[in-house]
Amino acid sequence: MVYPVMISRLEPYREVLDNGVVLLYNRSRDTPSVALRGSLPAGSAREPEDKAGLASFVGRILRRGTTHRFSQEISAVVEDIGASFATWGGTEEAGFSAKCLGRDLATVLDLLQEVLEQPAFPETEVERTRAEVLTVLREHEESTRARADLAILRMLYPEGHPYSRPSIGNRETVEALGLEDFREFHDVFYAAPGMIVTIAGDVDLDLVRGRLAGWFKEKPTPPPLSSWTVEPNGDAGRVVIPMPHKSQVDLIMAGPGVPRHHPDFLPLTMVNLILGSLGLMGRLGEQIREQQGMAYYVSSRSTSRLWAGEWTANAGVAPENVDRTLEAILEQVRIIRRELVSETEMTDATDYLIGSLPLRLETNDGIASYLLNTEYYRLGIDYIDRYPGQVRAQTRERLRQAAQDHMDPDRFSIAMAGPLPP
Amino acid sequence: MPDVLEAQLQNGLRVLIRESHAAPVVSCWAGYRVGARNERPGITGASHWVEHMSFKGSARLGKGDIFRFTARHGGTNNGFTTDDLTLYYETLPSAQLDTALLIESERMGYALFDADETEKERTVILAERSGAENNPHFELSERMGETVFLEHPYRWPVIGFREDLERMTREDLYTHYRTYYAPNNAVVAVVGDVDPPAVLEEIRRYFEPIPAGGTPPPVEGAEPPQTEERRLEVRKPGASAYVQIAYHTPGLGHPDFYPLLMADALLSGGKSVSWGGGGYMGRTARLYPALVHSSLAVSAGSAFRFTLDPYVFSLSMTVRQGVDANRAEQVLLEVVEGLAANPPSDAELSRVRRQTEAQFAYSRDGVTSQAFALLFFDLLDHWSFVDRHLERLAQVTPADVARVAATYFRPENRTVGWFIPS
Repeated sequence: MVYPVMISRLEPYREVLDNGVVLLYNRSRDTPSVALRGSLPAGSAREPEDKAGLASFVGRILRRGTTHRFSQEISAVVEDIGASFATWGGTEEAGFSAKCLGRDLATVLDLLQEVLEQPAFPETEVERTRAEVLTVLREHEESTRARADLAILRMLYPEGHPYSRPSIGNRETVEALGLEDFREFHDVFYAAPGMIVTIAGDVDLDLVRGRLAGWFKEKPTPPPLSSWTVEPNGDAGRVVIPMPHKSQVDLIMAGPGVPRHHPDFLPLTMVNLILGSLGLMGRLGEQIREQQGMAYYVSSRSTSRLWAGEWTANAGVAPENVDRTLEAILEQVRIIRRELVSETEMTDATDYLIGSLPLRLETNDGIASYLLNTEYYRLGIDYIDRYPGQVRAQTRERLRQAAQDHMDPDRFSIAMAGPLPP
Repeated sequence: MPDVLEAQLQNGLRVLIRESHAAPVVSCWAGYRVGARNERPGITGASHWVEHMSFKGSARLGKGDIFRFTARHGGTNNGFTTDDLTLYYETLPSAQLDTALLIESERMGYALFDADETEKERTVILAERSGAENNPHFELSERMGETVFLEHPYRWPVIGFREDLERMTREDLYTHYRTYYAPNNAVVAVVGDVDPPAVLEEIRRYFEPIPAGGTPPPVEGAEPPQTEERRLEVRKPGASAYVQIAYHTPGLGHPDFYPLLMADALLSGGKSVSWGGGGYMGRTARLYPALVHSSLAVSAGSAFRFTLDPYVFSLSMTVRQGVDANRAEQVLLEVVEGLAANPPSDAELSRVRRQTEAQFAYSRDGVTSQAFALLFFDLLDHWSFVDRHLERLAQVTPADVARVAATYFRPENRTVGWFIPS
């Protein structure tokens, strides 16, 4: 199954290999480098809550020793040729990426295969990785932004849902993770079916196809991924985290949004662009930073994931400006629900979404990321052809309706951390 | 290396244009030789504040238009202030280059510095500083600057001291702007899907009417030689013990510069000379095995920057929980200062040369990165400097590295700053 598509200078190909790996590929000779991205359904959604952080830990430690090589031997192979690669575990998926010169692609693909298929989880590397993760978690405990983020996720999603906790886990669970946990998780969930690999740059397709076809050849198909589709909590909550030694408050206001496949994904994306993202942070930036000078940053984002989504506004403000900032954000939400956006705003948002596409596809890594995204959300190899039409089909009325349907200020939760009284 | 069309307008503005047809996009950068280095007590932070004000309206652009016009075409834009330079860019679909030229010519010649806008921006910048103060390491970095440099203006932070930000006037800022935002103190670089001669004509049309300015005043504050070790300590709530170490070094044109750059690569891997790059390549360098792999630290790195005046070779390390910080410091110093007695093998040198070569190739992926490199090196020296980068590194011998290590990595030339979590 090969579908050539000609879009501007992008000529992506898609192929499902016999082992189940979906390969997307775009060849270009403009630079001698290659960028690769990959994904497989082995994120924290696969782990029990009492082992929070397991998927992330496995993702981190894969490259730190295989049954054939020590960690430093792997690094020597990669760094001797000026390549770099990374593996990680997120919420829905585990991921990997690599950059190398085209001439070294076979070496990097072989090493990636070894790392993904045959990790050894050596004890010293486990303890080294654990120390690093615990350091990151301690730093989060000292970060106003991370503390507020954590609080808002707990308010937005029901207990036990993978979106309700960060994929990195927490101190208690990470301290308790052991070798058997890593081995079992890897044995069950790291496999070719469900894996996506995208490559862009100066590559030889036959070489890539030949190498990837051999990945995880003898491995059984993992159990299907449960659906975690959920309507985020609708009850407004408010959490204040006093951190008296800090200079500024990080505040977050958030409410339920829509998952990526929802028909309102695009209109809500455009509502958010106008409200808190486009230009210098949209209407929120204009009102709160530019007109009132209350914050260095105030912006919003609309996040749409596989199973649910959320709308979030963030600001960093002085403690005395917290209430005014919250009210200013709420006021802008009320306005965008009540009034049509202007013709100019509609045109700006439309032109931004269409015009930014060539910029996203400017580098090999940008192309590889774009291809991964289209495959992950099953948008189709011809998505780039259909996308401009979908954006232009939106109307101001449609945007207002989406705001009314999905952005209810009465359902917003608020979290803030900084020099505040309890 | 594709050709660069190089020109100087009658008002002294240097212009660099390169064709790159990999994607239908163009990146336009404008840069000025002004930064914290050109400030004095009382107006620290002026360069950064001027950067903010340059987005606030000019003769032909209203406040917010720069972000609005760029976003409208799907583009990206930003501004950056460093110790030495202030840089701006827009990356846009190539048909929209005029938008970028309008923005940058207005910024160079006709910014308004409205008094009300200046006051609103004061609170925004104070909020930006408060946000930075939330980071436990900010105070250490600020105090390191003042301890390492006793006379040279590299001693103050780019964002400026709080008391100066509270007192600086609109006139201070406008004077700073008029002194340094002159075509004869600036470079414009354009890389993309364009016809260079036609672009040069457009640049003449936009920029030639801007009159040349006077010669910017010389930077005052010759740094006296350091004769003994300096130490400082910051105790605040935080996650981990963290150290910064700085050794005074010579500047860009000095014969020891490239051997020091090689020492940096030997200690923590080959690095990119531009925007983007291939990621971290330091696991096989000297610091990682000695400190991270040996479980003393969770991270350790080195940095050596291209600057206008002699700067520092710096090191940083986050100590692993439970490890004696003094012991970790001792090992770090042994590795760095031990380079003199333990120069690199040919194999080590070859590896970091291959890494640097690959990083160089990655930095050529994308017009934004290419335009940045042209502009940055032309402001420091000449754009072609970057073309000779690999050749200069290739000429460094093990004896050169040993010599510069013996010359600069000495106890009496170092400043050691500790962050101790309380």
